[in-house]
Amino acid sequence: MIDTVQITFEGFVAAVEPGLRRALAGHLPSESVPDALAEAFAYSWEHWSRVRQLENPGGYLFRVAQSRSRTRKSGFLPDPDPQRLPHVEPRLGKAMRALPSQQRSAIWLVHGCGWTYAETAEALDISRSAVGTHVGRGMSRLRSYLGVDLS
Amino acid sequence: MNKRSLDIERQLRAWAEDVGNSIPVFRTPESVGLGSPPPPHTQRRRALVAALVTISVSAVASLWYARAAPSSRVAAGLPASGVGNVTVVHESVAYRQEAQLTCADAPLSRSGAFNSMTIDTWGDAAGELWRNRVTYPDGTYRDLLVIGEPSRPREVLSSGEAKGDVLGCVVDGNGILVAEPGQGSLYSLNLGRSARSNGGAPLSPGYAELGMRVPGSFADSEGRQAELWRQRVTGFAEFDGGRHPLVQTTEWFVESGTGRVLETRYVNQVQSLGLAQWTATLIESETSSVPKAVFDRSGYEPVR
Repeated sequence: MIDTVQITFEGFVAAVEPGLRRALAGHLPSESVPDALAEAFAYSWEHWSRVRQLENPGGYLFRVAQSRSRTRKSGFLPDPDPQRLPHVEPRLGKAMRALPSQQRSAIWLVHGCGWTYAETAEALDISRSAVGTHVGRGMSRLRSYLGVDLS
Repeated sequence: MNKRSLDIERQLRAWAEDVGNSIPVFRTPESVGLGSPPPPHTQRRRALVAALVTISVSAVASLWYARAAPSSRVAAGLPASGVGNVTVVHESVAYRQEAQLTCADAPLSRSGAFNSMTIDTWGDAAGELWRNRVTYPDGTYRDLLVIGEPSRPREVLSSGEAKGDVLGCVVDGNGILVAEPGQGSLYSLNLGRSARSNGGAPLSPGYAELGMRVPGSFADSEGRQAELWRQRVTGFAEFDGGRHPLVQTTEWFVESGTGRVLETRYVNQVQSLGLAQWTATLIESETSSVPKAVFDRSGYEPVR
């Protein structure tokens, strides 16, 4: 029934949008994210019969949003706001930006956005094991940079 | 090296949430026109989203219903008691939708669904608590509870079943022109629209950002004198292997002096599908004291 499709799509947007917005916010300039989201959900609607069946729609739409975004600038990551996030290490932004892009993206999606390895693998178009490798190596670098005691 | 304990994962999570929350929530119709004018490519896409995923409401027979002693009707469904009261702004809106369709195949329809309803909103801006109640002509209702700024809520919860109809045509793809609004986010003509981005832009754009004032003297369906603001979006919908021109028109009837929206009308016209429209009319707006239990979340399920 088509009438239930609309409701399902609305629920789909409500479910996917917050995570996708956070994911894109770590990769695109903030002013570009609304357009990228619009592109992703327009694509979803146009290809709804296929998108609704995806196992990891968030990861797939992340790629759609990035590829269709008008900006080609990537790797954008603002520093943590010390006013709003006084408990966050101020050097975390610099440390993240110093990482290779794949490690940075994998950490942002897995630990920042709470995505699964499968979702992250879909988003970055790499294998799940590669996600694990990037996250592991990236986190080691972050801990080293920030002087974190692992004990 | 100066070693110290640091939960990096937790900090990353907080950081990502903060960065994400600084960006306006994507809303299917409201996001159309956000920010600077997009290039034609993006504008078409936004028009398509707005055309096919319209989250609106409807009602044909229930202006009458909305006017029938709204206070007693509303009070009847709200919690009768709570620990103390809270001052809220309450808005009551009569919503109706209708269509003149030219579907090649069957029109969309939900058996027993309604094309009219009343949408009540209670807002405690200081407490960042908001609630919609959508009441259908048969007396049943559903609720939406929003915690945080409506444009970037921390939590959205719902209870009850949406019983509004979906207007459009069955096509290869999607042919929905109008459907019941407010199923995933707060719906209101005037409440919860004060939040601004860091750059000063409203996170929930309204008539002043999206529309242009139409010169002349106008009145809404209630005969109330008002300014008329209008937004017209053109584009194409793609289905059945073709591109079909569409025109979407939103009109706001605005009270002079206060800037309060008295009525909003939306018309979505797609070639080969026909036309569907909705009208949302402000029936009541007041500041009142209600039990805190109005915002009690028991019985709600998370929407996101």
